[in-house]
Amino acid sequence: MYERTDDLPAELRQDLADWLLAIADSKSILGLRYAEWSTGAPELEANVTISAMAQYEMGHSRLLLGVLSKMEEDPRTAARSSDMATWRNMASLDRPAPSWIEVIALNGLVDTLLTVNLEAAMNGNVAPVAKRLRKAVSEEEYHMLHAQAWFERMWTAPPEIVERFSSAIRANWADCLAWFGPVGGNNSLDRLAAAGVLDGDAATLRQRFVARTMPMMEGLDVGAIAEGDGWRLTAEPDLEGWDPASRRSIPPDFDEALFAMLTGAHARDMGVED
Amino acid sequence: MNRQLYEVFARHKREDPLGHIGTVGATSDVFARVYARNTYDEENWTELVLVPRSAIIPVLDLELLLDPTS
Repeated sequence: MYERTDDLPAELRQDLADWLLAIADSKSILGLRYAEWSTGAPELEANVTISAMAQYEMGHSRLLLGVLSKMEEDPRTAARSSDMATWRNMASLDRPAPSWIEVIALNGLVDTLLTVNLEAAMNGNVAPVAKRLRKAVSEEEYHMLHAQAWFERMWTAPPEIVERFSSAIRANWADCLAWFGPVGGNNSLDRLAAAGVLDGDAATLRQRFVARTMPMMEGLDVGAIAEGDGWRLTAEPDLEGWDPASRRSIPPDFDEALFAMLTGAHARDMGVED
Repeated sequence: MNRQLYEVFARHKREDPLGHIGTVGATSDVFARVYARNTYDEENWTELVLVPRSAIIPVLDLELLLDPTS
């Protein structure tokens, strides 16, 4: 067990720093996407729940950034507050969630991908990360239950809703698979797994993600076929231009209002600093 | 979707009595669990349980507070 991140070899510290920022930025924006729907959910209890989930996501992000901020390899620079291309969030989170349908697709896929990663680090050998993640992982159990319950409900909705839900799933699915990057190639997840920082390499984490999400798909063809005890992808994701640090092919490009919220620009305009 | 009410009970410590803390409305037991967990998560419970209101068996008939004929 590594008691401090400084105890890791230098090249692994950079891989860990990149991983921490990719997860933290994604959780931060996922939290904001959830928060946008804190008064727009279909029922009162769902409003309360999505608000709580937003707080958990943002809390987990702060937790991970707390570890990252102690590392010399922290990739964040001053440009972060002015250049959204320096953010490391998952591509799915660039897109707004214009309805509850898209929120549930994010919940089922993006949230699950992030949880698969948290679990891998919780079972890894970097103590400051592993110890902090136990509570976060237990909180995520209810995000998964929420997704499962809503997916089940969505599949019984009128056909036009099912069609829109299917489209949202397919878009997120492609982004999620691409996030894991090349399998068996130059992939920091493989290096982190080989050193025990994560308890699974890129192929393993991707398989866990697929195994957890496919039972919710109700037969929707997203390009995965049950085979033996697992799932086989019928096509590898498009990794043209894929960047190993941000784990995506094109730089983040989300709306200015969201960027202002993320960076505290409005607060600075009012003279309030973090 | 049939939405029903669930009564939520919780206790802080093992030796505490299970107390009624509120209700949630939900279309399934899974939704009810998720909603209760997120609605009543501000305290550090050792136990948090749900009962569908329809499962509660009355022992005494509900007494009317006012006599409707008066």
